Amino acid sequence: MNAHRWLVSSAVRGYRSALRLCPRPLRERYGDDMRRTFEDRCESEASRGALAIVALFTRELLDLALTSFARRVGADPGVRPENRVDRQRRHPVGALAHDIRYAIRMLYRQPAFTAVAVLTQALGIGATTAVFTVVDGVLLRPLPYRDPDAIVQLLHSRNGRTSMSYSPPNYHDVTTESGVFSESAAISPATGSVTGSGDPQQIEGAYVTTGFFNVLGVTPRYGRGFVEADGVKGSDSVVILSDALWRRLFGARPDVVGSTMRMDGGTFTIAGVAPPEVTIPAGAEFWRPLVFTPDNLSDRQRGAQWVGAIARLEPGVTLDRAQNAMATVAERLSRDYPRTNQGRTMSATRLQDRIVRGIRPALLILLGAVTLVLLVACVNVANLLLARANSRTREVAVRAAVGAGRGRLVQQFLAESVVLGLAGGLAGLVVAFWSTRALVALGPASIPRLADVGIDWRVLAFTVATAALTSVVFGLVPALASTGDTVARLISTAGRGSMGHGRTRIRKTLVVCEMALAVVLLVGAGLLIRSYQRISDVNPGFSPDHVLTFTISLPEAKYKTIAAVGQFMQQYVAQLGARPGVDSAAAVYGLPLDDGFSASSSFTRAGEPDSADTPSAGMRIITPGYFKALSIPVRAGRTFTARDDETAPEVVVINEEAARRFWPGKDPIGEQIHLGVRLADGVRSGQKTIVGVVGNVKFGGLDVSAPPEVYLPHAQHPVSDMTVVVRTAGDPIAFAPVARADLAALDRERPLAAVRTMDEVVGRSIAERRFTMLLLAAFAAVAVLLAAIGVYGVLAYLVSQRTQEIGLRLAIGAAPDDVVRLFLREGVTLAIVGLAAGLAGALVAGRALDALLFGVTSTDPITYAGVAGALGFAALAASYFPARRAARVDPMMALRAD
Amino acid sequence: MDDVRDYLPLSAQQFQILLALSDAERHGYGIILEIAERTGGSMRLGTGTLYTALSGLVDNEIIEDTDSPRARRGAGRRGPREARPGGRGPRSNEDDSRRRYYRLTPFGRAVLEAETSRLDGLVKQARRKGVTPVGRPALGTLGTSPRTK
Repeated sequence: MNAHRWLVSSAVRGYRSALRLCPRPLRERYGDDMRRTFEDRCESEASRGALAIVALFTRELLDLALTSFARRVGADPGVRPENRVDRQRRHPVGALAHDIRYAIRMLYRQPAFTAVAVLTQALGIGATTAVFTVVDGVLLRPLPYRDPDAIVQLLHSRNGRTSMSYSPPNYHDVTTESGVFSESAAISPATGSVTGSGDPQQIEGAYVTTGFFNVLGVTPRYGRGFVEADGVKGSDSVVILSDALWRRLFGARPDVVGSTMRMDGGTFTIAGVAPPEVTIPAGAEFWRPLVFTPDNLSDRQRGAQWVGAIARLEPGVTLDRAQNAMATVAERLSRDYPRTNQGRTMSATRLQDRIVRGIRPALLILLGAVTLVLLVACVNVANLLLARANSRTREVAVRAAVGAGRGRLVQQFLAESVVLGLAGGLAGLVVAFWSTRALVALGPASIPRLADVGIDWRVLAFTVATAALTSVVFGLVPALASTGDTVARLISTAGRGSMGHGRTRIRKTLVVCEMALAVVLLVGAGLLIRSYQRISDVNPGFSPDHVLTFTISLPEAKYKTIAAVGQFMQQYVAQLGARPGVDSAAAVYGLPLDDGFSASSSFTRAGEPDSADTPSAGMRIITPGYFKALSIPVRAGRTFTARDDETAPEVVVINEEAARRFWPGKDPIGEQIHLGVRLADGVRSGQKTIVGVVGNVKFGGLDVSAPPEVYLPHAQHPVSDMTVVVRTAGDPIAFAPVARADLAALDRERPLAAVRTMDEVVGRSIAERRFTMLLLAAFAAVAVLLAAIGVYGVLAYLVSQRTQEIGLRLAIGAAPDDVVRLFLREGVTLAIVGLAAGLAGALVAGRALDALLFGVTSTDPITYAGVAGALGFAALAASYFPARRAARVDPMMALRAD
Repeated sequence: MDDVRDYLPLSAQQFQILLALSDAERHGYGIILEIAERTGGSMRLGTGTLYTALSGLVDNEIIEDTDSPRARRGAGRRGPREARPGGRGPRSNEDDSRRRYYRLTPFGRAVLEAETSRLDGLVKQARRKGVTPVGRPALGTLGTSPRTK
């Protein structure tokens, strides 16, 4: 009952505050009675429970809002029409409704002005909201896990290179000895092919140690997470499905838990279904227990870095303290195991920072750019409103003369600003909605978390408020200025339709600001376009045209020996190569420019001691035709042949970068190296002879220099996950069905996955860059357009103001061309000042772009010259039309007017 | 004095309020309760709607507001309080005496009567056309949308 008392008194307090909605006369006269009546109703509802009170309160608030609104716009039920006019004269509130109606009529009658103003605001509001929505969703919003700030990704670095991979013994020691983690999990990506109904499907997933879901702090939607018992060899044939996979394969059946599914030739019990927010590692659709063998954890394996690691900090432990604790463990390890751990440092970073680090600079730049667009839009609207205020001095004078007070006049201007602001906000909402959808749809798939971005209402409210404020301020300033004069002065100046030079100066300044902002954006866009051009021209070191690629994964359960794996791959590749229309076919472990792949290995040169700074190179495993299929040139020696099989001496091919770096000034052919490769049946670490040198190939990205590489023959190191590359004579994608049929003929259960052309692979590697460039270019285009409108507006106004002067000049013998030149000079002067300010600004702001540039500096003179030319041209074009109009002034008409 | 016809037709709310005041002076909550009771709960006026309507009716001198009858005539007068069904416990005199009460003006009574005969005329016309009421139409919709068989 006490709870009800409290509820009633809060409701009454709430209602009393809400009474402020009421028009003042009603509130003053009846406010107390209304509150008391509400109180009475509340108390009689109290006996029916809390819900009844809440329902009453809601109903009453709604009623209050509706009646207040109706009354303010003059449609209240208690007043007859003939009395309404009187009321409006007496009450400013009624007059406001009248002003709003008048404002709507005025705006409706000037469709060009209204359209430009509303469209400008809509573009500014919409674009800013859309970009901020993406920034917020991708960068700022916390990960959807319990206490996400406590989740960290473990990193380590050696020789200045940072990596996310740990060796199992190092992972084990750092997580248990540091004492700062409450939970941790090792992760190793996996692919599986699911069979059962229909075609086999290849899906991405991960092996994770049993603490994985505890680190994230999520509980499965159905079934259970992993338990200790799952982490024992022999009882580990369980799987947890992602929400998406559960929907796709099992039609979202809740009773799927406990049933089995066929994957990679084995049978797995479905232990649970994860909630949709679990997306670690990116794209994972299933999780299986990762079980370390005693061999995996032995000290001999400290150099084999192959698991990622995430952990949850103990409550109260800061990231700094965790770093220190990890450093202590790393020092201990480097003392005890100098060969593998010397110089190896270990650290942790917030998981969220790690996930978004790649896209962060680009998104922040876009946010900055779109803010400039919003600014330009606001300046433009301010300019439009100033122009309009000028052209209405006569109207103001007449109204003042017939007795309108200053407050009344200002209110009129204010009403127009508010209506304009609301219309702009509404249109902005539409733009924001569509452009957010477009951003999400067009954004490259590599941007994390992009798919679950939705419109951010706070941002929308903010941008609408900004735009509305601009229109109010810039509507109000001229209103105050133009109504401050005495009626006599108003009338005397009204005839000339001008309010003096001060206002013109403000407008010119605004236009210069617009131009300057547009220049900054244009320079930014220009630099990105030039970078994109440069990067598209980069020679990747291979020829990507007419090449089809896809991946195949051979499960251990079916291909038990590595010999079986090697044989299958050779047979399949040979079969593809013999097809008509195929130039050559091969398979590779480590396709260039394929997102997210990294495999490198350290090795020792013959006669070299086993020390900490042994050379390290990217490791690729290939079948013999690979260099031919991708047209990678052979610089020296030979490539692999079918004779380089498991019975032959072990051989390797290196690239030019490796030769240059590790055998400087020597011929590497015939040199011996010692390199260990982890295979399904153990580590193969024999002595290998270098038999050839090939050209460099871009691997991590077109903007990254080619790494040193070591190629190994697949026949000697059969790995089971391979990417097949097929060079075709015709359209490569048309060959995919043939490749699929050939695969099915060998093994019906193997799916063809990630089918792409090599051109697509290359394109995807620069998709983010392209996205950023296109967006910035679009923003710059909008800004230039707005700036041009600004220049046009000011000049057109100047022309209309100086009609008499022009007429006089023409009458005493000036040629029309002179008049055109006169006004062009005005426009060009504005452009030059704007350009100078903008270029100076761009020099400063351009530095922020450094991280995104490739092959150009942020002070690239060609870009600056191009921008100056483009904007100068836009300004000239925008000034030409009003100037030409000036030249056509009829001197007689101009002189006779007024 | 204005012509009563200028104020016709009354809105459903206005008609109900005038009807509530036709037999007694009432305060705001009293009006709401009277209407709710009489219409079987089918019309519940919101407080905002009620006072907006009241202020309009007062402005047009159809009703007038008065101080509480208690304050004018001293304690002891019974009236509107009795009209409160299920009234829960007495309120303090002070509280009630500060309430505003409303009553019909003679002009208001004329308006109410004119509206009643207007509605009556409408119903008669409908009857003549063979339209008869179904069940018990809600009073709030009377005269605006009589339901047909």
